[in-house]
Amino acid sequence: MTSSALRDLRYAGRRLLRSPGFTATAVLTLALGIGANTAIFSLVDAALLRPLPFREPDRLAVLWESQQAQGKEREKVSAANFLDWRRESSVFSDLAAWTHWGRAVTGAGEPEELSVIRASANLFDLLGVQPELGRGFLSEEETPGRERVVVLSHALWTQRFGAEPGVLGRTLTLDGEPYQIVGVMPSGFRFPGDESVALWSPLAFDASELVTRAERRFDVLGRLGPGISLQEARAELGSVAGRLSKEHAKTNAGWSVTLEPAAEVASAGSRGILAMLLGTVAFVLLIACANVGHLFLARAVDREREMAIRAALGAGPSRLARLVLLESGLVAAGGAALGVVLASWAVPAILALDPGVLPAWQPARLDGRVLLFTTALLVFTTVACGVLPALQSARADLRVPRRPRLRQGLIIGEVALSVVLLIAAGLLLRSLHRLQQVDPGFDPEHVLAATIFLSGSRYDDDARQAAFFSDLIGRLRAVPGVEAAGAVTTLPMNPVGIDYDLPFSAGGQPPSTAAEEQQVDFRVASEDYFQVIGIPLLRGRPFTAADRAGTPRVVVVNETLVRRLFPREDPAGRQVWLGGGMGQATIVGVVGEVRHRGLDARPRPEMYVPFRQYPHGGMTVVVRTISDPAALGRAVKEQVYALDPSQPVNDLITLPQLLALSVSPRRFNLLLLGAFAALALVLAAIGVYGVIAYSVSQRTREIGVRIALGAGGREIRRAVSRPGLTLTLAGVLLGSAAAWALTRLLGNELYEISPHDPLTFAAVALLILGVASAACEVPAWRASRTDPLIALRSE
Amino acid sequence: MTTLIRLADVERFYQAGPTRTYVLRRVNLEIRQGEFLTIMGPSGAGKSTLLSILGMLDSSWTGEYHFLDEAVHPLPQKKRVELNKRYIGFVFQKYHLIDDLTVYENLEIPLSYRDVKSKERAAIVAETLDRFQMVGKKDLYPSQLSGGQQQLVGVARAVIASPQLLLADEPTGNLHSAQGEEIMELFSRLNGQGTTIVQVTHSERNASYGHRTIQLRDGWIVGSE
Repeated sequence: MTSSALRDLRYAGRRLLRSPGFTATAVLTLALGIGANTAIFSLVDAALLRPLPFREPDRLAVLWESQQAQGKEREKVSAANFLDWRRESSVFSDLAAWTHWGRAVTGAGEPEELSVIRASANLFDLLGVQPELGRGFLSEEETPGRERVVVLSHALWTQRFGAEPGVLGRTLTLDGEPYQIVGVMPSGFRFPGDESVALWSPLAFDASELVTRAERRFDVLGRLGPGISLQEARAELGSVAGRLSKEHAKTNAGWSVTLEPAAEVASAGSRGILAMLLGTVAFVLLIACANVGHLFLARAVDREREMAIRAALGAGPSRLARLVLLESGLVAAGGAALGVVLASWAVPAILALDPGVLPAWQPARLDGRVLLFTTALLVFTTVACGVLPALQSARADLRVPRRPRLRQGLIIGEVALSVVLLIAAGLLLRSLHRLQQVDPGFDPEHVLAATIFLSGSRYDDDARQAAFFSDLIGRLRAVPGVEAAGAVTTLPMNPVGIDYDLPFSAGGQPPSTAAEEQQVDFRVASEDYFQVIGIPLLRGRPFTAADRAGTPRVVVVNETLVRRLFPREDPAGRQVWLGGGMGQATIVGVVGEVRHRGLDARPRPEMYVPFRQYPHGGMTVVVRTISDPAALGRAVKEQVYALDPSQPVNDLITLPQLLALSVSPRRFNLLLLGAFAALALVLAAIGVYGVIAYSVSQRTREIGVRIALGAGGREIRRAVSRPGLTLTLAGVLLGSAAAWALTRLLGNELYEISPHDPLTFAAVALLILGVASAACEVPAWRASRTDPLIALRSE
Repeated sequence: MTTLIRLADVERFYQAGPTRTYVLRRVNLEIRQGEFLTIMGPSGAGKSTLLSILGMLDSSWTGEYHFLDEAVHPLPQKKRVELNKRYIGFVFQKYHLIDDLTVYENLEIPLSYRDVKSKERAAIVAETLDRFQMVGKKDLYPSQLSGGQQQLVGVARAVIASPQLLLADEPTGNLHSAQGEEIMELFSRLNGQGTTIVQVTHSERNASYGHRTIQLRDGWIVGSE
């Protein structure tokens, strides 16, 4: 840097220090904009831009089974099909299957249910990540009987074993069975993108998993061979699947393979929200730049005399422009530094609020890449805030007319940007509100739930499973404060549990053609389940204790199924056929529709079967309580431990909490977008205030004249506010037009609200005009108090 | 002639800490309807301040002020503004036209503050433009007019709402002599038509257009002739 530039830099710094109010306002405004962008970029970088933290991640692909005719694009994979793919395909250098496997760890203290991943022995090699301590799995450990080894997550190693290196070789009891600890993964390792996974164990397919290809329950990950493209892999797997569909027509007819890059799959769920947030914070930054640009323009007008003198003394246009740009550069640097501090607070706060929307393959952090992005923002804001005032100053000529239009344009622009954000936030808010008004089909108040997966060989047979839950429900009914107790395989809205559909035929016989077969959601429930969670019984009867093993099989169906399959008759007493080896059953009752898969998901045809006839090892017990259900959590656990001290109890939760969790991704999106939209509104209001306050300072004489000519306070306030409100109105119109075009992008995020919802558009317009009026009111009120004598002498 | 204005013991001072600086001292003055009064005195004598009090732009004074027999001194500022609107017009030394408004729009302002309906306003402005022979300049901005023309607009603006009292603060101070005379002739004509005029001036020649001159010095009225 030349000495003259250094001198100018010192001068710029001195000038900024002499105007602490201006400098603080500008730095803080830019810090908010830059901080928001830095924070969101760090999330985007972690989720979308940084490669997955595995060796050559672009060669990783996720595989699914697919059945185009049924609209099933991404179904899990059956064990036998996976083994055939692995044996027959040449395009993959490695192919691994894995599945979630909740297992109880027993030992000291209460039994604990841990999230375990059963994975092919080659998983760690495929990913290119080796344990930090010990070893991974050996190929022979994929054999049943030899799979009793585990690799610990770094977190479990630290928390449960105090990061002892001597943990290797020790035994961990899972479901009462001993497993030897053979390794510990490094601290950053997260697979499959979930921090809660505590253990990995080799996947040794047992006979039951290999018996049918219809049971699709495994996730599959592949590493493409060197130089193999995705298209080549798709083509080869397609032909393998084609052959399997002929050889195993009963289970594989019409089934093929879907193949996607792992990076795309990993970020699929978060791409939309992150793109929306990135756009949002970009708008916030533009608004901040417009505000600061306006401040610099106003300052440039005030400095016209100084610049004219400098020009007269020989400063060229570029030198004059440099002075202003150096000032804006210093302000931007201050804003960037403070912005990074703000972002370092915001990122953990956002991650803490995240209900699982953002992928967790690798943590978001403010590293060199993010700081590079912040530096780019610094350069952008320097130019964006400084270029117009610099050009204005470079034309340092007192005869050049001032250009209020430029400042007015900035205000219109920033109001328009905030309108777009507020409309988007408004639509999400209305959408969430609509969703919360939806009747879930049950009464969540005063209901507590706890999930129990019976573990170990003690519960291998149906009778023991039925007996456990029967005893537990009986015990829970006797707990003081409990009105009723029941159980179901999967609660509505619950991400934990067994949620699948089964073939169903209304004819009472196995369907002879595919057209006769219906796929129906399936749940196993206890006799009091409907009463406990308030699902109304519309016809017939609920289950009773008499619906037990050895008695005629019964089924309760929901209203949706009745409407679809028995539109003109009372189905009670009808014989139906259930797939999954269950056979014939009689419909004994009809219950109301429940939005099992979320408030925004329409109810599907469903059937419930009694747990005494179809025992299940994993059920959620529910109790309706007289008072606060959360207070009975301990009592529920005690009843479980009284039956089996080694049985863990999971996911103790009240139904209102479960309902709130089901909309938490939407709430998270709304919270972030709403926060940034509110920030934009505040910045735009400050901008309008700044323009009006500045114009009042420039119009002191005129205001004095108007007062002398008879204008009262009302007229002065109107005269002062009108330009601000006119600019705001122009911004509202422009922003509404832009929002009209852009809100379509919200599409999937909206529930029963048009992206062009007139109420939201009108409310935002009124809100902005109201806020702008308030922002104008302060300078307008001050103007109305102008002493005309002083004003008229001000020249 | 009936009395338009009566001031009794009017005083105006500025308080700076414990110090009071008086601008006007015990001013007693009576102005009759139709009178053309000149206020003279050296700079800092309190002339403009007195004019502002008469015009009800200044409310920080003590004493008694009666306007058309209505006591102004007990009135709140809002009521004083109403009186100003109804009865008083102002002409300033520096014209004080509003730069962003055309001649036509400048003339319209006082009418708009008096809630004159749009059609009526248009008629009055048209008549005033005609009366001041400025029809051809109605769409020009102040910066496109000479000083004399600007002051002509200033006077037209002051009288457009037909005030009973016209207050003029050095109305020819920024004009060359020919333009100044033109304005003073205009004042004479307006006075002849019944408008009471109070002017502040340093010019003996301008003072000669009036009926009576009072001399102010250090806030005191020291002479009347």
